[in-house]
Amino acid sequence: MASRVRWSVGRVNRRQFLRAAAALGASTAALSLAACGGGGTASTPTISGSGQAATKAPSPVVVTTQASASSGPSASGATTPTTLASSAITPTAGSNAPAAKNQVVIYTDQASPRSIDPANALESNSLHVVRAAYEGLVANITGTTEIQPRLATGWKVSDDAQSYTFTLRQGVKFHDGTTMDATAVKKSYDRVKQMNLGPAALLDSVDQVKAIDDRTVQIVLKRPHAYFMSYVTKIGIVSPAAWEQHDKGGDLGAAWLEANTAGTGPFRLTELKRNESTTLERFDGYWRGWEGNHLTKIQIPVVPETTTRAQMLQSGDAHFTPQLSAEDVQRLQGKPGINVMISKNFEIDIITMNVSKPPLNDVRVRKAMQYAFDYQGYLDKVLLGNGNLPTGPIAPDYPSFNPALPPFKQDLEKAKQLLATAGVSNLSLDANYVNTLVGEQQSASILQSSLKQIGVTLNLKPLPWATMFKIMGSPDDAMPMSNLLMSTFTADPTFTLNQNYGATFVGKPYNWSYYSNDAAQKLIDQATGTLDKQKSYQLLQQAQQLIIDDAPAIFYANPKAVEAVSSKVQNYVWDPVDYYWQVDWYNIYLSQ
Amino acid sequence: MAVFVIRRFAILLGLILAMIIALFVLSHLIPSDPARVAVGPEATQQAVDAMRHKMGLDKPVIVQLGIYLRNTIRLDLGTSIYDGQPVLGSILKYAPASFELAIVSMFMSVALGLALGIYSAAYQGTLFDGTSRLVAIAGRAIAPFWLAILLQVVFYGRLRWFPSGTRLDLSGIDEPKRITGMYLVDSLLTGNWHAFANSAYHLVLPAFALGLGGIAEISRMTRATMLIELRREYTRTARAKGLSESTTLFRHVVRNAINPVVTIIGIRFGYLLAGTVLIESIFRWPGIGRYSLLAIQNLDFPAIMGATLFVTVAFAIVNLLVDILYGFLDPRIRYA
Repeated sequence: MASRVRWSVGRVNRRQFLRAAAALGASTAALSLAACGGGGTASTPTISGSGQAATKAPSPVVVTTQASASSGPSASGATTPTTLASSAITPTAGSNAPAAKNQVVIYTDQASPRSIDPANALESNSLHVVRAAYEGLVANITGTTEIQPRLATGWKVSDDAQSYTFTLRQGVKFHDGTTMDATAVKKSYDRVKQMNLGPAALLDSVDQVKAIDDRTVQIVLKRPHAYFMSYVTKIGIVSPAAWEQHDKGGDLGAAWLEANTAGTGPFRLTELKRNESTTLERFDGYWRGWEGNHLTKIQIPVVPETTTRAQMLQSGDAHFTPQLSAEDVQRLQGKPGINVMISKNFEIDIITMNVSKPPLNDVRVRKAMQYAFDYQGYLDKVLLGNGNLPTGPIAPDYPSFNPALPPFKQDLEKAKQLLATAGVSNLSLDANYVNTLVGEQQSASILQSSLKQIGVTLNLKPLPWATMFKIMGSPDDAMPMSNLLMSTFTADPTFTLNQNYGATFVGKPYNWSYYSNDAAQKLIDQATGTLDKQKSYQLLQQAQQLIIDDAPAIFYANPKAVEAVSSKVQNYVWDPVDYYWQVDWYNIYLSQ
Repeated sequence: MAVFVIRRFAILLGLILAMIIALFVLSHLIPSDPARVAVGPEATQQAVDAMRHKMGLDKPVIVQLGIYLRNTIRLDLGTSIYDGQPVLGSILKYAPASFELAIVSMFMSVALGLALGIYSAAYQGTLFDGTSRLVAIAGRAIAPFWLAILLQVVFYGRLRWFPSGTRLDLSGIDEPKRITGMYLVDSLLTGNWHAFANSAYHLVLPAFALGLGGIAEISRMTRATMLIELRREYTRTARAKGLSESTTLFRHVVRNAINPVVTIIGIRFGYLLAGTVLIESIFRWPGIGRYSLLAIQNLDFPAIMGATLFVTVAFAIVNLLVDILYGFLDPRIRYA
């Protein structure tokens, strides 16, 4: 007999339903708590949290990246007790930890390289590839501003600092098998100038490059430049045979070089999937050879979300996750398999003040702004103690730093007095910042609340980067205040000062203060041509004092570089004079 | 029917034209410097000017619009400012990934939504019905990207049951030979079971995050129409004739209740295409959503316009297909 039972049976009354709903809600809550539960396996945060063998072999190299650096010149930037420093470690060069079998490092980037052509690439993501595949005549000793030989074995600087002559290393091969020689160097430099993209600005001071003979190159500058060596580290030498062979319609091989590498560097590009991942593999013919512990492969997957990157680091699916916020890094602190590295950084964060228009054209008003900002608050609450109180446009240990300068301190009374003296009241100012950068947003907010206390209204305008460029580059539209995180990608203090305060950069990136000072400029120009470092630094310190007196910006922070790295990574040192997050791929390796 | 389709296409063309003009005007109102973005902040002013000329940005806006329209007709959507690749090429490269995700997600929504809806109607008033109502409300209320992050944290971060994202494992597996660009299809067509299994494995979390909202909508709609149909006379007749409950339900009632669901599928597809932007970002899915997000972040106008155009066309075509589908499902509907 077929069943005649209807399927809609058993009405449930309200009490039963509520009970069931509550049970569902409770179990969901329990599930989410389990998921977000912090701390994980409660291991006490110790320095060797990864449980690996101690890597404390004292390094002969001057690696100045220790967290609580209270030695020497940086003592002036007194730091408050940090929450992270005590359990952060700094892997020193020369680690002895046994190498793992799998030497494939996974480095998560937020986006694909914009370009991998050394004559085009100038930002972090792009340079991850370029620095692995191309080398310059000289290189920085990572972590310092010192120079060491690379493709050149020696060099001579003329007394007038206008001519640099390099002796090249013999027997170095490019990825395509051709030999590196003086012609290759000359052509590489000429190519950068001809392409006339970002990197061409680095060779602004170069007049011509001559191949004297097979192993001698001479770079002749337009004017004397005592700090030119720093730029030589940035220009990667490309195999001319490679780009000439693949030249398409006079593009100097640009199209081909976006999909291939042809340098002398330890790694070559094997795969570039835009917006997905980039892969580089060992170049077997690399001139330094592969004895000892080295990587075999570099994989750079694109992971735009910070939460995902942090999870990948925790689960061991990634070894590097740059660009995490301070809170994210703090959350990773003490987790097994993760080291939080806190390194010296020459970055100075500033809020620019447009001196070309009232009311900020009055130095007293500008000084009032400086006194209003809560420097200690920013250091404690935003940087979580990882940084120094700034003293001016140059950071501790950077060439020409003046340790005698006092740190900036908030003084609301002085600020009010200055405003009164200047005769301004009921000020209302616009301040912009990059909408995606948390640090900038927080500094802007802190300034806003500080200024409220002295009767000044700050209108915050978050903007996308490209828009900010457009607005600040136009003298009519430029807002009174903008926000910049000035990292030093060269060890050239004249450039570091000129970039923000130099006459030739007024209204251009990054002199958005529209400021210039003839006396300071003269000193900077003089220092540029002075080979004697001590004399040069003295001149620059005088220039710095003039700039500080003019108060064209609020120097609000000198943050340390905070990075969470897998504890398997050995010999990694933060490079404070290159674009962010660059890695010395040849020197690092993975331990077991 | 043919006239109907042609008319719809004409409307679509008009829509595209209007959209291009609107986007063009908007993008020129926003102050930004694409030439500067293309050469980077360190380049000299001279380099910026050269790039501006190369991009044709120094011509009057009307002329630029004309050039863009002319190129679009020739299927040349321009070159991305950010990565220098042709926009149309990039879109065609990334579209299959988004389609695959949307289709799988849609399947999940429809299958689970229908099942939930039908059984909720059949068991109206029971605990099952009440629970599925809760699930439906939660599904509609929960933001997909939040759910995506939660799924990732729980099922990848904590439990390690599922991967963190992308379409295949990072190493140890190659893409299936590219025929359609959709890995499930391609791996089936080439008999690559390893790739099929791996792609399916990677699809679970993102498809579910995208699809939960659809499950909710479809189940509620199905339930409602089912309940109406269950009270109709033909249902009573079928039961009176002696047909089993399941035959009554599935051969008669469900077929009448399905029409509104088909509408939802059409609308839902639009949401899927839009929702993919954040989901793709969280799961590192190399699709149109991610491409659009990057384009927006970089104020890469050719790419933004290309992606928007593409989504508009896709959405319009899907809805057209849905409308045609009505004609087959319900013989009462005919198009003049």
